[in-house]
Amino acid sequence: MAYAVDIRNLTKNYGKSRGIEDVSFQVLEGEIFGFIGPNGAGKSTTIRTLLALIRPTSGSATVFGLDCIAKAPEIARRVGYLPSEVFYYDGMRVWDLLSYSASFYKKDCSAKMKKLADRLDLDLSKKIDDLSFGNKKKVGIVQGLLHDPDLIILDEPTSGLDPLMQQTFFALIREENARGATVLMSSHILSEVQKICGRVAIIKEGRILKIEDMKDWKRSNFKRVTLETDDRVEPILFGERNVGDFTFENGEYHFMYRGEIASLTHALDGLSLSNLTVTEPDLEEVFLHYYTRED
Amino acid sequence: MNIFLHEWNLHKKETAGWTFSVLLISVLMLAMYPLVNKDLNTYLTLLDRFPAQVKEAMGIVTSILSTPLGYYTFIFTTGVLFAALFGMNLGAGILSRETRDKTADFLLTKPVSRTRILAMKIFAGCACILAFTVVYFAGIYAELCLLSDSGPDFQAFALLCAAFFLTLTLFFSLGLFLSSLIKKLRSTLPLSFGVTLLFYGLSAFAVNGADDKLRYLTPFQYFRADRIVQDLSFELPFFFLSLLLIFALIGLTFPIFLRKDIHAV
Repeated sequence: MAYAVDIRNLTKNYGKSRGIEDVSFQVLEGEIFGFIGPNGAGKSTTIRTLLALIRPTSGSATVFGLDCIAKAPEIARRVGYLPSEVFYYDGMRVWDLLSYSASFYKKDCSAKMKKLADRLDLDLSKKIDDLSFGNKKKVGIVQGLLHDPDLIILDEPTSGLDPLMQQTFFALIREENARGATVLMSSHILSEVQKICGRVAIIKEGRILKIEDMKDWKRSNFKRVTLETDDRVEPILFGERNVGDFTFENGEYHFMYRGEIASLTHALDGLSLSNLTVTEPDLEEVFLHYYTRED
Repeated sequence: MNIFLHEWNLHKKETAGWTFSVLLISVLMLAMYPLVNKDLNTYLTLLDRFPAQVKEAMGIVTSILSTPLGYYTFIFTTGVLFAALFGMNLGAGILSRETRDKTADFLLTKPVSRTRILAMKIFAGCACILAFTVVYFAGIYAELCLLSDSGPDFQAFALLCAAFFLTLTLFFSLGLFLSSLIKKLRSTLPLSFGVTLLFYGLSAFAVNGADDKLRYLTPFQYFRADRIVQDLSFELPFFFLSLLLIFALIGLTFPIFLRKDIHAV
């Protein structure tokens, strides 16, 4: 299968501050690919290079086989982009802004615009200045999808959307994917990448650590576990390789668990528990306890 | 064309505001002509007491004050100063507002080359300058016709229009070029004020006459209204220098803008 995105040894230096270093990964046509890492890891820098907003120091990036800098306008015709924060021209109404956006694609996008606005419950007659952050984000979603792009690039797409709207958004992205669009989505929220992506590239401090298949990743859930018991608990009970950051404080055991939930509950079965909490760790914690060890 | 129209819509109100303000100042100053003409001899005596540098800096040549157009050449200098400020501010803002207002991501991810984006923005800027010049001089022409039976000398008036347009375009190009060099321009007015007033200040030193070379340093001295009305022509070295600077400044902006990184918000 052909690559929608092919990034090889991409490096961007910003003088003293870190950019990205030797980043390589490929996104297959038709897949939903996650790009995950803590804030400041280099996700946006990589995406902005693909969009020709910044020029790489070295390495190459192609989209549908075209060089992302030399052929930027041709690529842009087939790409829809939703930035993490959306900003538009003051004084314009939503409809005018979307029509201006559509005018670049030389095709009638009005039906799709209306359809998307209906799905997202977006008032097209409002002035952009009067919109809340969440509603501005909806404008961003519509303007990123209105021309039926072949590649959809989403940079932290759900920030500002309420949970219900996040569901609608993911449903829209799945529909676009079913239509044939490839999706590259960056995020620092594990659960949303797990929800929608087929494969994921993990980036930290400007370098790609791993590219994983979500099927494998889903088998190895990351959980933060707190348990209260009179029994003595050792990490080996859950499989030493699956446990990180194991501590005992104030009568409670705390640890990070990576593995199948069934194995965890099976291991807990023999303990006389007085309390148990299993929560979703944030990405920083996962990186701290797993990916640092794998460097 | 869509970018051109969008830019025109963004800047038309600002252009109209500046045009009518500068026109109003000029019209009011020009309306003083009948009073000046009535007491011409008194004024000439008074103006003769001014130091030569001050008179030159203000474009005052006492001998041509006896016609409305001659009187206007004195006002022209003031009009050009404000118009240059507008031109410089327009040029400095037309690119930098995309990064300042964080709309660059929207525009630069559309299927259009940066060369075309910049070209369309420059055309839109020139359209604003042209509209400024046309409306401003239509107002001035009407008033000059009211002030004299025969109206102004057409050739002299046309040359003044062209001089005005070229000076504005030169300041627009300068603003555009300087803004492309600055990574993040938070506000354009301090830059525009600073540079315009610096050149206007230089103008006072440049007009002494003893050393004409100083005139090359300030665009306010490239087109001197009093000489245009007297000679019915431009001073060619300055005319060509202004054209050269306009093309050079715009030409240099292209490679800078094409290679500029647009960083995340």
